[in-house]
Amino acid sequence: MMQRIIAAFSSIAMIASLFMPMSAKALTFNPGTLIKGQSYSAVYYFAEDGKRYVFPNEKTYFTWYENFDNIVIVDDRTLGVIPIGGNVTYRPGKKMVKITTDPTVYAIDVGGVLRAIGSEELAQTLYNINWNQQIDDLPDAFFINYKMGSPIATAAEFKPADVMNSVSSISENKGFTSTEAAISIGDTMTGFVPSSITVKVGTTVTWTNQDSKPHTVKGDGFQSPNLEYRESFNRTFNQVGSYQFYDTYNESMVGNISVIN
Amino acid sequence: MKIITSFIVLTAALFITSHTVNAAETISSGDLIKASTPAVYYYGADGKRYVFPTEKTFLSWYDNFDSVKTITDAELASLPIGGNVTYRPGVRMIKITTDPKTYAVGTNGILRHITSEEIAVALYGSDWNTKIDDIPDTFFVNYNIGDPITNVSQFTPADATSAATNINSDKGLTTSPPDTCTDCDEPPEPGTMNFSVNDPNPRPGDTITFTANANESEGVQMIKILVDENLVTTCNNTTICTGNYPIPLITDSNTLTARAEATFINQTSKAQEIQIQVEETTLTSGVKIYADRTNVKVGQSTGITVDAQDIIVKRIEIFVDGAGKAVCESGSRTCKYSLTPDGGIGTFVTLHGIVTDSIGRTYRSENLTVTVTENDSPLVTIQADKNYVYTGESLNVTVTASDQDGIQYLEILDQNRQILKHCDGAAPCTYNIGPWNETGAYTFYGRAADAMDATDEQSTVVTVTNP
Repeated sequence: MMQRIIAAFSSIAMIASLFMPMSAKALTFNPGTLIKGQSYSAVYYFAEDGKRYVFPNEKTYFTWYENFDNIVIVDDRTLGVIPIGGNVTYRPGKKMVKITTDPTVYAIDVGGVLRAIGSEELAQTLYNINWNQQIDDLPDAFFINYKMGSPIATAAEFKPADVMNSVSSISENKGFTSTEAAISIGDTMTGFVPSSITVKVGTTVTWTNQDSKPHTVKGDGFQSPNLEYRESFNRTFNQVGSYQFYDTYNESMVGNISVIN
Repeated sequence: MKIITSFIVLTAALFITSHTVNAAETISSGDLIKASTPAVYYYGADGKRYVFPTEKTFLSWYDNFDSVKTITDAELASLPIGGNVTYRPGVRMIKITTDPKTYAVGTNGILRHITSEEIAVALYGSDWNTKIDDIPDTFFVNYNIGDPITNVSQFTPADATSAATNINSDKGLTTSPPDTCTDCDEPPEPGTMNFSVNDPNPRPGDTITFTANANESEGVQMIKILVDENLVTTCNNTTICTGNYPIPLITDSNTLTARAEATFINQTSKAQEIQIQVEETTLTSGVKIYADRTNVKVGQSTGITVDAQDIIVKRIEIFVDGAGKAVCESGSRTCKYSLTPDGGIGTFVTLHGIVTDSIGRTYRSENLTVTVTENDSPLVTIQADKNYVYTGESLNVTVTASDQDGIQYLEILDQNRQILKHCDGAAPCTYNIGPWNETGAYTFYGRAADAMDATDEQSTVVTVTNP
């Protein structure tokens, strides 16, 4: 079942890629961008923590997006540098879910919190007469991506449309704020990933070495210590401007941070 | 996957019809269970059921489906899902399609990056590449990334497998104590705390910065940061507290424990600890750094060499003004780097080398200064005709030098910097020493001065042994 869903999802992504402009070397992408590898079909959400988040299935994707427009294609090596952060959960309020082996129907609150809907009447109040067509079966193995919250006692506690509109992005739903951004440090082939980002004043940018060799980050007014595999360095940018940085070991590895108001 | 699931459906169906319409089987912690749907679960000691995300995950723990017990759908529904089962440690390696790294699996789904093919061969044999499973991206989140395996001694697959006797022990599942208080007043929830340090592996003399971020809806009264129970800083009525701590040059232990304690307005408190591992870097004469010339003109480059003696070298790094510039990982005892200082006349850069040995200890050279001057120093070489001699033998030491301005004189000095021979002009200068009576290592220096009085020195070592 699960494999079938993923396979179908993959094929849709493949079709989508046919219509997309090829921009393989596009290394400029900001948090909140959808990315995919050149030869892999899966689409990921690139978040403020510099990690990519997996859509466990097509249904999850379509609670957030209507189509496969605006996906940035990166080469496979570059994609490999970006660590997986976790799985994307359903957009809150959009649909109800259940698992096949438990009759309980859940509404989804902000942050992937499941809230049991205790009765048919309540489900109908929340999701109208056709409520039973708005329940997706969640594969057991994805249940763990959600947190269990308190059951919904009254209809006033949970207004699906309000809940849905209270979060506008996957980042918001995961609790990331726009005052953080992150860059992965790859090898000399991939360089910094992404190598160029645009952030708002006051944003803290974190660089993490994802390569087995040591690297550094040096820019005008900041310099990291030696960063070994998985070590991080961060800097807060409080002035508008364009900040170039490079790796002192490999001066061909360069990047740029545009800080805007 | 399909074949096996239908297999389960079939046997289960047969089982139910042939055996019983009675109550379902009694189950206990550690059993494999299923109901009318094909999925099989592990019944954990915490009373929850655990999902096998893939068939291969199941097969890393069990050879077959023989011991699966069938319970009613209602009973199954009453058992909450606790999580996903991860691969049994040590059995297989895993990777994800979109990341070239191969991981060994440790306890409770800790992934340990296998950093080289040699290590993979040593751990899993020459057919190691047949023992890797691709896991779907979606299940990667069930695992946690641990320390990479850089040395075969850090992971033994068979030991990891036998240590994980069952899924309960692998996940650390225990019977949860009965909930004695279901309807009484809950004590206030403590707030949250996020405690971090900019560098968890500092070197002696470094200053590290701690940041403690505490939150609770009613507010934060006080945050304290301590290192080994010594107060670093106290912040009142703020959610963010930072403190600097200089790492002492001499410490009793290389591990420091930093703790942040937050006291909230609602009278709850929260603490979080971080372990600081001080990198012990030994300053040693076994690591030497030298420059082909220590005075360079603007824009001129000089070769920098770091040499390690008596160390099993894994890596040599060369640092310029504290920033790593070159890394040599071939295992060679020598690492070279071409330095072109970018400052003007009068500026200088300070260099040092750090050698990491095969078991991760680090050694540091003395500092070396390269100065940008109007006149570069001469390029000096010193060579002994033999570097190893027996007692009773003699040897020749020769110094040569070159410089654009011409060489004024050459000198050969002993290890106490006493001049053994002085030669005027640019011709090579040779000194015959011996016969040697005492064994040991002796250093000779070659010095040259150019026409503008800029001098430079290089050295060579001669070892005298008994025949």
